[in-house]
Amino acid sequence: MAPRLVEVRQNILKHNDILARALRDRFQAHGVFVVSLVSSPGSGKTMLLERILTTLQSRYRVAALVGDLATENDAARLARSGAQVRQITTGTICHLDAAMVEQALDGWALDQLDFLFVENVGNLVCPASYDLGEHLRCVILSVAEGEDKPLKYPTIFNTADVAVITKIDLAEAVECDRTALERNVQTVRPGMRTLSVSAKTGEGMAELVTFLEHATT
Amino acid sequence: MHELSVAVSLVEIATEEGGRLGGRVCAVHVKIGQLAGVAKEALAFSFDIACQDTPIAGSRLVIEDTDGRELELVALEIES
Repeated sequence: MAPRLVEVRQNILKHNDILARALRDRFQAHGVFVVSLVSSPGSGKTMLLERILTTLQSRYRVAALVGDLATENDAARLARSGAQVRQITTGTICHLDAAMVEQALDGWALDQLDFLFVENVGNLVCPASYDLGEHLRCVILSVAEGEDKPLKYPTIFNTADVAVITKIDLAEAVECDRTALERNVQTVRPGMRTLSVSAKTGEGMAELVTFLEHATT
Repeated sequence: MHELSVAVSLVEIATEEGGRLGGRVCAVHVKIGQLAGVAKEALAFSFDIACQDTPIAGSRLVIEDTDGRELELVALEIES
């Protein structure tokens, strides 16, 4: 007998999506605002996050999860801010998924937190497919990466809520045309909010922190 | 290169649905959008590996291209 074709229609990543939805409900119930950061390696995510944690720490209860293939170096760096930090080492896996986040949260009292930051593994491709239950996803790119980066990685820009352009103090040295960079963000994601910062000099950091505070409401 | 993770999820769901429907799954039809961030060739390669030693081992993967962000198991071909 010929095989029969049966329509099933399921999202391939539905297990992740279900878990992400449960995480989102949990975050909501405990009143913690969750921000994820995605970028390529070397964009300055960790330094940016260290500055954000240090600033927010004086007024809010903040914590962070940080994903890397190996080492606890980033967790050690972020812990200098005084925030609670946990490292997720993924081994060979190139992205975080909702199950890894859930596992990393084990034992943490979420109702004791106002902000939780989740720094993804440095990768502009794979993290786009995985919902982590976050409220806000920031895609980060530095001026040193080339103005056309948004055009090369459109998917991640389409799954993120805001683009943060880092290392603007280096723009002149690396001959980055910031207007072209912003235009390329708008080409792949019309209307996307962009913020420009230098974690080193502090330029734009106050606006970024204010943006995060307002995003919670 | 997260196609292996995607393939493992696909095999899990196809196995669940196949078990619910009864019979042997001989083909798995999926829709992969251009903006899904998944490479078809790598997914096809990973699918064969992810299927090994599962109830749907040896099944064919049939990929339909779409324009959006779809990452969907559309249908199963079942032999009774």
